[in-house]
Amino acid sequence: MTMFRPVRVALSLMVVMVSLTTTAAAQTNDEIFPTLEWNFSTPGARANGMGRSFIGLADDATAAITNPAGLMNLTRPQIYAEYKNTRLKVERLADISALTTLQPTAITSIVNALSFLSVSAPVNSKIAVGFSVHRFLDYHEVFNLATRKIPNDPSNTFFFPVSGRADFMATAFGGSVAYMVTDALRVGVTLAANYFQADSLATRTDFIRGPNFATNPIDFVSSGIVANQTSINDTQTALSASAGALYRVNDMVNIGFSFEKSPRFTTSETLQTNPGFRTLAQSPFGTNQALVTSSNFPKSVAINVPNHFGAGVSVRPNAKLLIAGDVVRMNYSSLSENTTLVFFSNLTGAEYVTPDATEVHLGAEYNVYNMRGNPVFVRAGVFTNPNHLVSFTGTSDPATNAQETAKYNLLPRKDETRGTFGVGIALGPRAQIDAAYVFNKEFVLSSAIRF
Amino acid sequence: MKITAIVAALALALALGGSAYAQNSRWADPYQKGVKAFESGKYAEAVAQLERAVAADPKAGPNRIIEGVFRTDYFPYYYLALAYVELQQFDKAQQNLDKARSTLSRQQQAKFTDAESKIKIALGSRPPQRNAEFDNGVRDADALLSGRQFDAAIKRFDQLRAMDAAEYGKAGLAARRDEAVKGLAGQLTDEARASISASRFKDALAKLQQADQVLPGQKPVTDLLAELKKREDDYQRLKTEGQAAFSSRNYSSARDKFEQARTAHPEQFASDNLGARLTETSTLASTGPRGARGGSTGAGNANNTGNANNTGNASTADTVDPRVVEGRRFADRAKQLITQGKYAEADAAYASALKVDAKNQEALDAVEKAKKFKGLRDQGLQLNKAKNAAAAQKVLGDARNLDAARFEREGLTSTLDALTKSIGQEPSKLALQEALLALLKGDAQKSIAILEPALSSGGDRAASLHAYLGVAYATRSLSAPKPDDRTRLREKAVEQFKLAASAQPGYELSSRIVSPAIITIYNEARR
Repeated sequence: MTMFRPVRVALSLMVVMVSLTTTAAAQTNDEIFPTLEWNFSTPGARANGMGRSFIGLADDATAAITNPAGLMNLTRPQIYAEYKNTRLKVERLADISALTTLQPTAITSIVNALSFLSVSAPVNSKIAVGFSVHRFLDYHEVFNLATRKIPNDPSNTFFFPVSGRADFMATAFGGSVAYMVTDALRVGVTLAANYFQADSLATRTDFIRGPNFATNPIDFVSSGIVANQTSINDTQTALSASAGALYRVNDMVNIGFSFEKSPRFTTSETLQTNPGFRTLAQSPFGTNQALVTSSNFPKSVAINVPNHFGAGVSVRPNAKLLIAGDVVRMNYSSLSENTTLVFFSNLTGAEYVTPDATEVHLGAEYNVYNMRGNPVFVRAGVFTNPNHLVSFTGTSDPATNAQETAKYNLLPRKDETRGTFGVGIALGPRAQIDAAYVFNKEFVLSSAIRF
Repeated sequence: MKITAIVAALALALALGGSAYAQNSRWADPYQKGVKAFESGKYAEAVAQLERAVAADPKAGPNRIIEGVFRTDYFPYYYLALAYVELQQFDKAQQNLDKARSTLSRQQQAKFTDAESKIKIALGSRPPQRNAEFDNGVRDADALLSGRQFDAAIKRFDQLRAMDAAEYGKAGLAARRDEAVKGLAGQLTDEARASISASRFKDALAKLQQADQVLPGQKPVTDLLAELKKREDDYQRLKTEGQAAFSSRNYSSARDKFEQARTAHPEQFASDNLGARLTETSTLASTGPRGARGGSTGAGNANNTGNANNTGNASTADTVDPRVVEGRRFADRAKQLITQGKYAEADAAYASALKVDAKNQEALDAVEKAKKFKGLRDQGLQLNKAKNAAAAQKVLGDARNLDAARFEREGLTSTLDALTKSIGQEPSKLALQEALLALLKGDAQKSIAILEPALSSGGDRAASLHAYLGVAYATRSLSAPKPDDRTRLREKAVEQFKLAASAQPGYELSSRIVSPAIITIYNEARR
């Protein structure tokens, strides 16, 4: 029975983590969050090249994140680093007529980051440890929303034009331990301190008739007079834990399981108003004055990073070919549990929902060539990313219903499927370099140095 | 709760699924250390590490995955073969070479041809060496076996089997151990036989029981055990009869019974402290009644003559029969005549003994034996006259077996030899067979009686006849109670052994039927 103590510990930890729930408010109903999709990419160019399939493989240092049990596959101390170039593309109904035409405007930003770094080592034949730094959230957006007429609003109202930016970053500093229970079964746990930085600002201004108003009655432009402003500027820390298991079925087949109890940050958002707003009878109908914080603000905002549970399998039909696949269940619904109400205090917060999603990752690696004894690999894969944008479920107030429906539900929703491609080379017994490209999304470069 | 249940079920399934195929890259570290040690010339360390790698994963092959994208050729058997060559453990080198050959691809085999050649050269130029300790053990065991230290040899063989059962089987040591077992059983039987000759029956019994344990079911052993049983039974019967005779005041008979009991089993006789009783009985038998010894009352025995000492108020019941005394006297005379070869007179003396004492057991036995001998002799001679050579030869052979000394004394040996030759047998061979049979039965005297007359017709078998005559003398020497007899008989044995060696230099006694002590005498004699 002693042999299975680590299993019991891991099991207990997983059960405890699964059973923990929170009732804290999550995100808010300002313009920042409706389009904020949390996407968790698997670290490592190798995994990314294989469609992010890695739970059932977990045979390099990135296992600390994907499946800590995989650290037992390491045979030497090593440093692993990943550089990531991500093209963040956010589609918003930003144009003046977008809420009618439903034609989104793509807002793109490029993020370059050293997104993963780890030091890991086998301690003995039974235990391996690792320390990792993982940037799992790196969201940056600058956007401008035009004055848009709200469809189906009985009071014939328009959204204020909004000028906004958001910078959210979250980094996990984790320590991992993997343990070989039997020759076939390995388990692992990663405990992490997560550092969250949030800096967002959304400024709504009053609007006035635009130059084409005569021919286009919805042509309004910003007057430059601030109506109100919401902002988050905070740093938080929270703990997270993940556990995993790898089971070697036979020489060819491995299966893996992982579960992550993600961190839950609690930050705050402030709403400020302009005392000079619409204080004049003529255009621009007001003056910009020092903003005043509204009553009941700042409000507490919970950022419930979604937990996820995955299972994967890897198969080696021969020495050159590797095939892997994962299925990951993402608990996105936690993001909008009891949404903090910045606007429409007549709501409860429960009107906002985010669907959970199940991702499927498939990929393969093939040793195409040995260059002077150094194996060269090509990889390809595909993964799905089901839509998980927030939806507004409705309310009895027609005006509120029209506004929130326009804000949340008119956005295009697509289940995403992306292909990946990658190459890699092992340079002797000491180094590996891998690169991966996630079509229209990401370029990943990673390297490991073994000692 | 649903997720919790799924997770718990999965984890439980994992925990219970412990009989999975054991494979991982734990071989990598010891393998790489082993290769490094080999390349540094640390062959013993290389062997230790490489054997660890093989224990972790015996499946060798090229381009094995260590972790992730890292691969290495995994050829532990190749390096083990080379390392073992360096350590001069060629058999292990060969074993690993064979394994390495089967795991290498054709291309890689070509690559390793040089190494293979190196091993072949090494194996060819150096004698294969097995485990030194095992080999030394084999040498020890063989030395013990040839030195007839069978017990120690068996133990050594058993140690070797425990040390390396495979090598034990391959070297055919089981057969050699069986040989040692048979040798030990034979040795114990010889020693038992010698003990019987020396009337050390308890010792003989212990030896025979030990021999039966070592190698159960051997006929000589069971025969000797039966003989000992008969002796024991005879002793008990004679003792009971002697005591009964004593109680009935038949002292002469009691004395005879006690003497026969002593002959049948001297050790038990001494153990039962019957010596004093025999002395007393003999005295009573020879001196007649003497003074009162107890409180019995009444008149003395009507047969009492002389030495009556009825002075008290009671008379003794102890008396000695003068006819018994006379009978013994005649019997003693007969024995003396036999030693002089005067068998007819001896027969007459025994007959006289029986006339005066019809219960004289010695005389009864002697008369019976003489009667039987004469019957066989006469029958054999008649058959010879009737030209029935085969039957005559058999009957005369029985007569010689019954009383070889008398047979020889009466000049029947030449007749028997002629008959033996006439039916296509060799007298010397027959004599040798019968003498050996007598030896095996513990009757060295009979063996001497058969062999001595056979010496004249020894021919090609002279060496064997002399040798086993020497064995018979030596056997008697070893069991003779008196030092003078021992010396005399040993000298005779040595003389015969020298004659045997002279007749056939290099002649060896069979260790299966001759005890080590006698072989030692033989070896000393022929130097």
